[in-house]
Amino acid sequence: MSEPKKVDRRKFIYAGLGAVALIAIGAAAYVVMNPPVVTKTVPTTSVVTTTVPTTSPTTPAGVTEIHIFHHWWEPVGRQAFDNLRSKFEELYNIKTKTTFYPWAEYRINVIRALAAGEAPDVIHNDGKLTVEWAEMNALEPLDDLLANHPEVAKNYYEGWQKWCSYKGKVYGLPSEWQGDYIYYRKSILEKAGIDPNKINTWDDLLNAAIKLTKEGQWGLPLRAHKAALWKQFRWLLFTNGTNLLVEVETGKYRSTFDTPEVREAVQFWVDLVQKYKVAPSEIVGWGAEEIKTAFLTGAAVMTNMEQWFGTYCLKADPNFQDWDVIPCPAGPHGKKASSTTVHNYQVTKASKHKEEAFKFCAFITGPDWGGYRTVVDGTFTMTPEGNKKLMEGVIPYIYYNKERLTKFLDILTKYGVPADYPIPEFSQIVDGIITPTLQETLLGQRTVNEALNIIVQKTNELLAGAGRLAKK
Amino acid sequence: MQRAMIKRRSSKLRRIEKDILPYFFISPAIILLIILTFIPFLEAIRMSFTACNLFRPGSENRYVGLDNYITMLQNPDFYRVLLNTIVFTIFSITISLLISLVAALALNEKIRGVNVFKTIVLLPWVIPPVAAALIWQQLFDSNFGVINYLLTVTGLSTKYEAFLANPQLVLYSLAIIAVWKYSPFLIVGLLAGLQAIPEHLYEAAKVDGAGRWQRFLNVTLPGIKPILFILLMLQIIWRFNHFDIVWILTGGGPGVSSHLVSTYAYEYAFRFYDFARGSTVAVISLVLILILTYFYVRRTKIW
Repeated sequence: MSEPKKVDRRKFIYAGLGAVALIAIGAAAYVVMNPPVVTKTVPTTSVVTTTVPTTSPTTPAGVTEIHIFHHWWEPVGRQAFDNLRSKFEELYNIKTKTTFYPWAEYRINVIRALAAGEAPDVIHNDGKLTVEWAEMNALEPLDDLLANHPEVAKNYYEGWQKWCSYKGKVYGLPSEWQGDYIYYRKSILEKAGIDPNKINTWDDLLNAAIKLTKEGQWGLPLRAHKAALWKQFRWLLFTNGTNLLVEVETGKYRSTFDTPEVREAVQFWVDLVQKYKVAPSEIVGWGAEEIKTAFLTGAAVMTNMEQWFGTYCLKADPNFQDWDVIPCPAGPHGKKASSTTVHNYQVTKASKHKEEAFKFCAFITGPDWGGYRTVVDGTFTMTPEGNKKLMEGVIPYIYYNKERLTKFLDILTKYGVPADYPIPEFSQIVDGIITPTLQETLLGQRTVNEALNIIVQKTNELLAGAGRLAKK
Repeated sequence: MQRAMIKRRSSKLRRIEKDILPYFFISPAIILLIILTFIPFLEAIRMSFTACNLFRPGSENRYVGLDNYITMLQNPDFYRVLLNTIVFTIFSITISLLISLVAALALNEKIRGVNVFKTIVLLPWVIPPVAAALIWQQLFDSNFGVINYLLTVTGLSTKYEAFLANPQLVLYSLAIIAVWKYSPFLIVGLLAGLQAIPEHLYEAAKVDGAGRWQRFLNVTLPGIKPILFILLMLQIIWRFNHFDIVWILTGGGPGVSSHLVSTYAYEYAFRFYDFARGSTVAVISLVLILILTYFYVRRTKIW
């Protein structure tokens, strides 16, 4: 067998360069043959550039098509959404195309599409991402469109803008209004002689949890998985009259983790796990799935969850009715509260059909059809009219009944506090600083004092780096 | 004259065909490599010297020297992540290697139904990582998991463990999943190596009175050494960059107890949009892997 021929470096380079030149010639020929549309690039950010075409292209038949990114993919939800899409197409003569992504992959796929210049016209989003993408100049402010269509804003509850705005501009229309509640197993509380309506404070909640905890049964496990810890911790802050950050001067913030209110909240949660043992330490690994299983089997008697959780349990066991909810009880410095969130439908800056995209957002969040969308996960529309239709059964219920919806809405309107995301670095503070530190504290690897110091120091460092730290 | 010219031309063409054409044929692969690997690699290095953050317009071209590296090297969490990665890599590769070697030796025997076993052994490898992660999530479940059940039934444990929520266990639990998922690749590679060893070497060793163990030490091991080296190199690189299953199951938690350099870099870049720090973590891990590889290559003296 002959020896393999040695590679001649010079020829190798020449051949490579030749191929590169060929590709460059091909690319140049492609550009010459397909001249780009005259565009205007908004040079405000590195990755997300915005292209605004001079004309608004339509499909060959003259019907506009809008592309929607949606983070919803379970079959019932998709079916409901597809039905609504068809209704919209029929009513407005606008074609729609939807790409669904599971929530875990949603963010990265949207970023990828934005960076590649393939942004859809409409994005379905949660409040935290609204702030992030608005900061990246990826979203279209809707103020002008709202001014041109004054009937749209009138649909929603007063003050709806606080869930959809950033730096004084509105970036989305609100949908899926929901809050968090203390879920409890009715029969177990009854058997233990506990009246859930008398749980008004953290102390009441703790006493009930202690009474309910026994072998194989946890009184109050609050999920602390990496993806969910903040959602749990938020209600403890809100019911103790505080929040994650405090705005000291306009646009400038400081961490609140050096205040007594936050210390009490952290201490309360740590005590639930370590001192009173009404929740297991492995709660740091529990996400929605684990809590659902534990709640269904009675291994978790009480927990804090959002509105969708009931539907999540009912999807697993349609006959599961042995549960109810109460508002989150008050801490020593606060009052009862439900941290409320909405999701948004947004128009992207790169959309070539902003008017049509806006119409879709208004349709899917509005009083006529919004209920068909929200009823799938047990959430509400942000419109009084739409919610009335839900209550009256005009829009058929899928999982909840009138009694449940009434209870949820009553708590939401009475105790709801908007869970705001004031700055785009919010994810980094929550996921990168607070969550790992509190997880370690719940596991007993850090003291509460250490945790609070670390969080204050790291958060303020990050705020300073982003130019958002307020003076003391 | 004309004939001489034609002859010269055809010999020139032949020379071109012989010398240039092969390079031309491999050039698409090289171009793809340049576009998909070298350019992003150089860009990652460049970005690690900038303040690139998607929330700060223009930051991608603001150079900050070694600031990102200094910050990262002063960050205690980074060292924990690095240690996690090293422990995860060593633990999972060691276990993988032992299991794979035994499995490959067994599958190399001429026994009935061996092909069925070969297929079964390959199954974990073909299962998508997300599906694998979800399967193991159920198996490791701290309330109803089969592993906990088996451990308590056999008396190996007295209580149900939270394998994915216990900071002392989580890394090893994830390493076990990696062993299960990626050992088939090692088994297939080692099996190929074993099958390439000429039978007459074993026969000669037998004639010389070598026992089973001596044949393994003096014939089998030297025979599979080159492929073992390649497989180990690949495993080190892959395990050092292990991502999918860890991200799906724990996201690096609880705390940072299961964060690996890959998940840490990803979190910085794609969750916090801090591409500068994300690139810094990636570059540091690359340097470490290069150092590791260099010493490994030198020590084994195979190349």
